[in-house]
Parts: sequence; C-alpha cells; structure tokens
Amino acid sequence: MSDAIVVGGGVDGLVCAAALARAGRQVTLLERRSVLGGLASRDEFAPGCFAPGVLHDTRGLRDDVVRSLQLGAHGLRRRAAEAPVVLPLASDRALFRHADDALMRDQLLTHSAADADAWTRWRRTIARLRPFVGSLFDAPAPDPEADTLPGLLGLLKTGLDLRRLGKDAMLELLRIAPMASADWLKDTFRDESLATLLAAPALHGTWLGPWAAGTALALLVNECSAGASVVGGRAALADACASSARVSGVDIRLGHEVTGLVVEHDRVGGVVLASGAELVAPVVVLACDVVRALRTMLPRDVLPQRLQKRLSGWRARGALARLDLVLDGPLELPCARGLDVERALLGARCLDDLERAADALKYRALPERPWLDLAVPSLDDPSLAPPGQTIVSALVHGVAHDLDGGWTDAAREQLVQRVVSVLGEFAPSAPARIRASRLLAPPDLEARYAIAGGHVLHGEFALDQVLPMRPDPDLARGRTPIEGLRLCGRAVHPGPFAPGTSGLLAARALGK
Amino acid sequence: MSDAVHSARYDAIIVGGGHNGLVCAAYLAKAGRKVLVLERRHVLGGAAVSEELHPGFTFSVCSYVVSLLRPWIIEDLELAKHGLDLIPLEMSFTPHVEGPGLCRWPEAARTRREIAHFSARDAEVYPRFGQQMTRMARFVKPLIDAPAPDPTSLSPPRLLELLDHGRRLRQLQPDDRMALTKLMTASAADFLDEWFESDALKAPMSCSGIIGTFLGVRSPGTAYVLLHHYMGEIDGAFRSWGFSRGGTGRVSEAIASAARAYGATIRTEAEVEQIVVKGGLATSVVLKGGEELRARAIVSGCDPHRTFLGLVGREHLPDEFAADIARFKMRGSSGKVNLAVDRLPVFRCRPEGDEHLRGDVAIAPSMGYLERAYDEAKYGDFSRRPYINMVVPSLVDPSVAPPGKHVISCFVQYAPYKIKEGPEHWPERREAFGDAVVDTLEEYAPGLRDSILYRQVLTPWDLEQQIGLTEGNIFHGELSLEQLAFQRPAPGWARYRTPIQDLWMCGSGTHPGGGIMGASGALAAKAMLAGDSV
Repeated sequence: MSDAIVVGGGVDGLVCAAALARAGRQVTLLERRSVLGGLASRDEFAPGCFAPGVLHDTRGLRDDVVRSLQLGAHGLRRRAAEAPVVLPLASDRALFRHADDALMRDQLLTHSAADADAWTRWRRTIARLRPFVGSLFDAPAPDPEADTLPGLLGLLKTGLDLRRLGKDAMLELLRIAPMASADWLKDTFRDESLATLLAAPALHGTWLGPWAAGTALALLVNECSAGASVVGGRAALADACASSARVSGVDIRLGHEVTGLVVEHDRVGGVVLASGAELVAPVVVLACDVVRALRTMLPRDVLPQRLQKRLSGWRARGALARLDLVLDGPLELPCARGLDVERALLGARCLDDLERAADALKYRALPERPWLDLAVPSLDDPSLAPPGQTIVSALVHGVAHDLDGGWTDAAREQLVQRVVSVLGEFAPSAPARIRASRLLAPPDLEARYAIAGGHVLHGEFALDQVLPMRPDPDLARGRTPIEGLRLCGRAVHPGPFAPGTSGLLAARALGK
Repeated sequence: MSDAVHSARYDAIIVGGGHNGLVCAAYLAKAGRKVLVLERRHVLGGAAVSEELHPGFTFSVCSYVVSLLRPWIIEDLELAKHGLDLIPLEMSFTPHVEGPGLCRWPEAARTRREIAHFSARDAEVYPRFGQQMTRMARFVKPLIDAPAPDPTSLSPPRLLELLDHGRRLRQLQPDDRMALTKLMTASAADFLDEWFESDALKAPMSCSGIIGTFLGVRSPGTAYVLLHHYMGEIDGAFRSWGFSRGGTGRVSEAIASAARAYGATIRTEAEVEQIVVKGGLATSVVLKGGEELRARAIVSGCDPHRTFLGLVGREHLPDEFAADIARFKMRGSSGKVNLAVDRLPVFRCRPEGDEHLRGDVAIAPSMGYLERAYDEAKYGDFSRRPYINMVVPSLVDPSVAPPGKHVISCFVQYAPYKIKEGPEHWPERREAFGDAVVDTLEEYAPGLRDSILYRQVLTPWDLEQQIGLTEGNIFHGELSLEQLAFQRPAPGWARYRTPIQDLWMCGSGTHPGGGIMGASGALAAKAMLAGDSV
C-alpha cells in the first residue's frame, strides 16, 4: 500500500508526486492516458510530427519548482534569450514583443516615439508590483476563512506585503486589478497595435475580450510572473518532471483511469479505477481537473450541499481550439523577412479584433476571422518534425465549446479554412505547404484531457475565480472537507500561471 | 475680472444646484453657515428636474425614478415638510413580442406564478435570492452612508474603520461572504446564472447591473451595480423604487426649500465660469458676465472633469492628480426619450388593463438581446434594439398630464457618447436614435407610434450640452470597480477634499455616487463641518 495516490500525470501531478517521494513517502501516480504530461504531453499528430503540449508559454515556471525537484539535473534548460512575438503591421513591417526592455524601447523609438517613454514607465510599474504579485503566485492563496492564529498571521502578512509596496504602488495595483486590459493599455499607450500585442497573451483562458473588466489582472499577473522559457516547451518541462518523479521512486502507472474515490466517515480511503479495481491509500491528491473530479468521482452527499451548489457555478467554458500543421519547408512571414519566426500574433490588428472573437463566444458562433497565437515549436526543438518540415501550432481564439449547431464535420472544416485563410494572409506561401493538420476543438480537448468544457486552465481566470476563490474558499489551499483528500492543479491557486507550483504546495501542505 | 468683487460674504459657495449641491448646502446652512448655491440653468436640480416641455405635460426630463435617496437625509432635512412625496413603484413588467411576458408584483405568490410560467425552479428560488440581496445590501449600506474607507492610509482612525469593516465581513455567514465577493467581482450574468435558469427572468434582473455603465451584462463588475441598485429604499424597504409626485424635480425643489429655510441663498441663471485658485487656495468663483464671488470654501457639485479640467484648470493641479482625473472614465452610455401620448400604450402580450403599467416596463426580453445591444455600442453606434426602461408616471400621478393623456419616460441604453462619427455628430443622429426607440416599443406595443403628441430625445451629447454632464454620464463617472470607493474620483482623494485647499467636491463623482442618493452632498458637508473647514 502506498502512502499517497496522486491522480493525474500532468505537470502538477508529477511535481506533487515527486515532491512527496522526495520527502520519503511511498507514492503511486495514476495517469489515465498512455503518456505522461497531461496538457503538456508530446503528441504525435501526424507520422513523425509532434506537438509539444497544448499551450505555448512556459514563462510562468517558478524557480521554487525547478530547485525542489532538481529539474536541471533532469534535463530542464531555460532559454537564454526569448523569441520575440511578431505582430504584422503591413506586408513588410511588423511590431515585435521583445522580452528585453531595452530592445523594446529601441523599437518603439522608431515606431511610436511617445510610447517609448510610456513603455519605460509601464515596465517600471510592473517592476514595482512584481514582488507582491509574484509572491502571491509563489504561495498558497491568502485564506479568508482562517480562524487559526497562523491563518490570521498569513492574512496579516499579505496585508503588510501589500502596504510595503508603498502607497502609490498599492493604489496602482488596486486600480489596475479590476480594469479592462484595453482600458489600462489605452490609458498608457497611444499606439493601438502595441496595445493589441500586449493584451492578447493575457486573454488565454478567459471567456472575455479585452474590453471586459478584470482582464487587466490577467495581464498584470502574466507580466509579473514571466521568467525564462523552457527549451522544448511544455513537453520538455513535463519530461523533466517525470524523470524527477521516477528517480525519486514514484510508482507511475499509465492507463489507469480513476473513476471514483473511496470515502468512509469523511475520510478518503483510496480510489476506484475504471477497471473496477480499488487502490487503497490514506492520502489521495487530485491533480486533474479537480472541480470536474469532485463533481463526478465522489459518492453523493459527501460534500456539503452548499459547496456542491457553488461548484456547479464554477465557470469553465472552453474558448480556444488548437490547430497543428506540418509544413513542407519553413514558415515565411514577409513582414519579418530574415527572421525565423517562432511566435506570432495573426489576425489581430486592433483591440476590437480581439473583442470580436469574444463576441463569437457569447453567441456560440464560429469567429468570422479568428485571431491566432502562433508558435513554431520545431525551431526550438527540431526533433519534433522530420528534416525539412516545420511544425506550426495555432491557438485559435474565440472558439466556443458549445457551438450553436454542434461540432459537425462542416463546422470543423469551416474553422480550419478560416484559420488557414488568416495564416495565408500573413504567410502567403504557407497554405500550399500544408502536408498534414490536426484540429483540437474544445470538445476534443475535453475528451482527450478529461477537462470540463475543454477549458485549458480548468476554469476561467476571472476576478471571481482567483486566489482563495480558486476554486472555492472552502477548497482554497488545496484542502477539502474530506480528510486525506487534497487538491492541486490549475483550478487551484496559483494553478494557471505557475505550472507545477500548486502541486508543490499541495505536497508541502501534506508534509506538515 | 470685473470690479464687482465682493468681500468674503459667504462661508461656502456651492457650484451647481443639482440635488447633491442642494443637499450639501442644506446641511451647511443647517449648521449655521452662510451658503450660496449657484446654478447655471433657470431650474434647480441638475439632472433631477421636472419641466413642462409640452403644454400640460410635466416631464422628469432626466432622472425619472427615485430609489436611492437616503432616508436619513429625508429625515435630517425634513423633506416631507418641504413637499417631498414619494409614491412606491413596486412592480416590474417585461413584455415579450410573443408569449405572456413577465410581471413581478409586490405580492410574492403572484410573482411566483408568473415566474413559474418560465421555470418552476426559478419561481422557488426567487424569494431566497431577494433575501440574500437584502442581506448583502444591509452589509454594504454602512459603506455608502459613510465616507469611503481608505486602505492606503496608515492613520489610526482610517485603520480602525478598515478593521471594523473587516470584522463585519467576518461576521457574515460563509455563503453570504462568498456571495458578497462574487457581487464585487462577477458579471451580473454570471451572478444570476448561479441562481436562475430562465432567460426571461434573468434578462430584466440583470438590467440594473448595466444602468449607466458602458458594460454589458456579461462584463465583470456589473454584479456590483446590480447591488447598488438594490439598495434603493423607501420607508425602509430594500429594492423599492418610487416616483416623486409632480416629477423628479420636486425632490430637488424640496431640498432647495429646506436649504432656503435654513438660510441658504440660491441663485439660478448664475453660471460659474471659473473657480479662482491663488497660491494653491480656492478663493472665489467668477460668473459668466464677470461677477466674482468670494467664500471661505468653494464646493463643486459638478462632475470631476468639469470641475478640475474645466472650472479650475489643469495648471492649478498637481500633475499626477490631473492625470488621474483625465483618465477617470466618464463614457456616457445612455439617452432619454420622453413622450407625451394621447392614450396608454397597449402591449401585445397584455392588452387588458393598466395594472402592469404602474411600475417600470423593461424592454429586455433576453440576455442575448442585451448583449447585442451592448455590442453595437462597443463598436461605436447606438443600439438599434436598445434596452429601454419605460415608466408611465401619469398613471400613478395624474398631476403630470392632462386627463386621459399620459407622459412616458424612457431610459435608453446603449447610446455611447463617442459614436463612430464623433460625439459632435450626435445632433444629426438624434432623431434616428429616437426612431430606434419608438420602433422598438412599437414591436411590443403596436399603435404607440400613432399616439405620440410630443417627443423629446436626449442623447449623451445633449445631456452634456444641456445638463452639463461630461460625456453625458448620468453618474458623473462610470460605476466601474476601479472608480468606486476610495478611488472615486481619484485614488486617495475620495473624502470630498481636493489637492486645492478650500476646494471641495460634493457631486455623484465622489463616493458613494450615482442615482438620486444625496449621500455625496451630505457626507461632503459633514466632512467640511467636522474639519471646521467652513
């Protein structure tokens, strides 16, 4: 019998299992699929062609996770220089989002001089807020329900940290957090293409456009938690975590789908597998889509009615699709001639383009002209594609899970056509070079990764679904009303922005 | 400057005779201060005015229902003695083009039957929702009846205030605490989705979350506005709205009458062109025509943009404060259409009787309808099929129209100030906007168009030009989360003071702002009196 069972072999589950094993526990990790990594798994979508995980970005990875699991010793490498994100402006001109502030400022001096100074000020604001915002995403959520002394001290500490920012920075934080990102950026910058380039990455996982309040918080957290990317993307991160878990002695079992939890007298006793078999353990950590799991894996009436009702209000409406393409030859963007483009934002010329994609969600219609967050992962990791071929992966925004009329073949075909047409607008040579493609619409993501609504963050990032509200004050910090049952993953703070951190925090909480 | 410079004859000069300016004046005068109110127009009340625009028809030109006027102000100023007479408006009718529509009545059982037509479950839940909102409103009430707590201040009294609010928060039941957090952060749609399933019910309920904002029902932050509108109280009952007998202007007249009784002087057609600042001190005001009037304190009831960027001037402001004010979002989003009609409208879905017209009529058939109305505005146009909140005050108050005829007042959203063509082009689009409203109503109440004797269309541009509301914002600035409480109208300047000594604010652009509440005016007066600043 193991000391603990971890359900779900995604990054958070692997980190949690590895950290528990390193602390001397006997850990069994159960993964439903035949591969590890969950959303970060490397996926062969055409013969010899791989996609390195569903999401592109790895910049939220915290050093704490890297150190605790010694991921460096397990092959994790971080990029020395980030690839710029390219936003086409005209057929021969583009705006770049450089991670390097000096490069960014130089570019703006020629692009929009007034914004060069605004950029410096904006980055200064972010630098001032980073220690506080960053610390929120390194630690368990402040606990508003705390009635114990340590809990109250934790709250007090958060309050003091906030005050330590200084009055101006604190006011700035309180002002920005509930704003619409479009308002924040338009208050700051004159050039709309710059605002668009900055706003887009923070719309991942929301169900909103940039004109909706609260999107500025996602943008702020994104900017404050960005470190260096992982070479090889999410899949490389998952590989390193899996290697660390194995070496630490975690018993990893693939193809083991958990369908139920054994609960007796408000204590967890183990898990029930799809095969009907039961595995016994005094501790179970759910590291999957935990809201879905709590709603489907528990015997009736184990959770208090009120909590069940609140969980039924958890919003996880998938809002993006992923299209992976194999091109014969390179991806050429004339607007950035001479550059190997690794990341690009296509189809978003202005903030309203981003907004219109969100309108499509509201009406459950396919976006007329979707905007694409494009990555070319085979440049970073050539082993993903056969020689001479290129992997191009698009996160397609404004794609509703509950499409009006359903996800028929015709609807899929239409979406692919629209994506390819946007791609062709900026990379005219690309459409003719497509050798294979694979679309993951929200229902595909849902089925494949067992995530409600196909929501890649296991729940929308919105003002009322962050910090202790993620996923519920009674479940904050990964605790549950059932003894021995703990939660981690993206639906648990700080989930979505810091891969692995909620797994690490869950392991630490169990260690206490 | 003219030679007609008076010596400091007044303790306080109040710029703007809107309801907040008048409330402020009344409180100051009641405390024995010598007060002068200056109003630009020929009528008092600002946006709370009644005017006879068509012979025999009295219109509540802008604000048309009284919901939020604080009871303690009514009591303190003895407004009933000065002619205030509020008639409760307790029902709400949502017509549909097809089907029976939905009425929410004062009688719970009757409302349950109406809702059950759409969803039996919603009918059961509805009273519980009301109870929770009442508890929430009770919790928030002390916050709107006092100056905004300031989490950035380290002074002991401010910290004690914060601790007190924290303590009250912890005393709430966990479910209520969660609901409150949601109210402060969620969208009206998401908040209501957790309670109800029927679109026909959720749509009219969500409307109070968008009134006066440039947000859609699915925008986070609108749940708070929903609560804001739940706080209306007449005779102590939450969520009761009412008409003022004789029109909304009577509210302003009653307050003015109280102020005069306490000794305040009120001048109309006295437009302030400048608030004079010398050496960082506000010393006097200059009227159109050159007359200069001095006072120990100048109090502006105008909106923050007009006050600081117009009357004071940027050059007298600290840079950071000026920047904060400049980015304080005004963004008017609504217009008003007032109609004189020769008969009551007959709604397709309820052709009989007039009982269902004695409250408000909300054209809000579905969430999708409201969201589409918002989308048009987002991209710079008025809604072709807008959200309309219509009342027929003459039905409950026959004094405002000739016998058998009626006054119809339509609040219309969305009408963005900044239309694509530019706000100055509103006059060319005004009648098209009015037509969109009448066309929409005609779909629900055929024949209404032919019954119109007179029509007044007020666009956000008109509200700005005529009433002086910058960008036509009816709340003197959006009620968005980052513009509330200690950030209203600028972070750190929410307690009615300004960076200019002896210049104060008392309008809706300050906490708690919005609606005919009077709280801003009263709290400003109290702050001035407490600091012995006047």
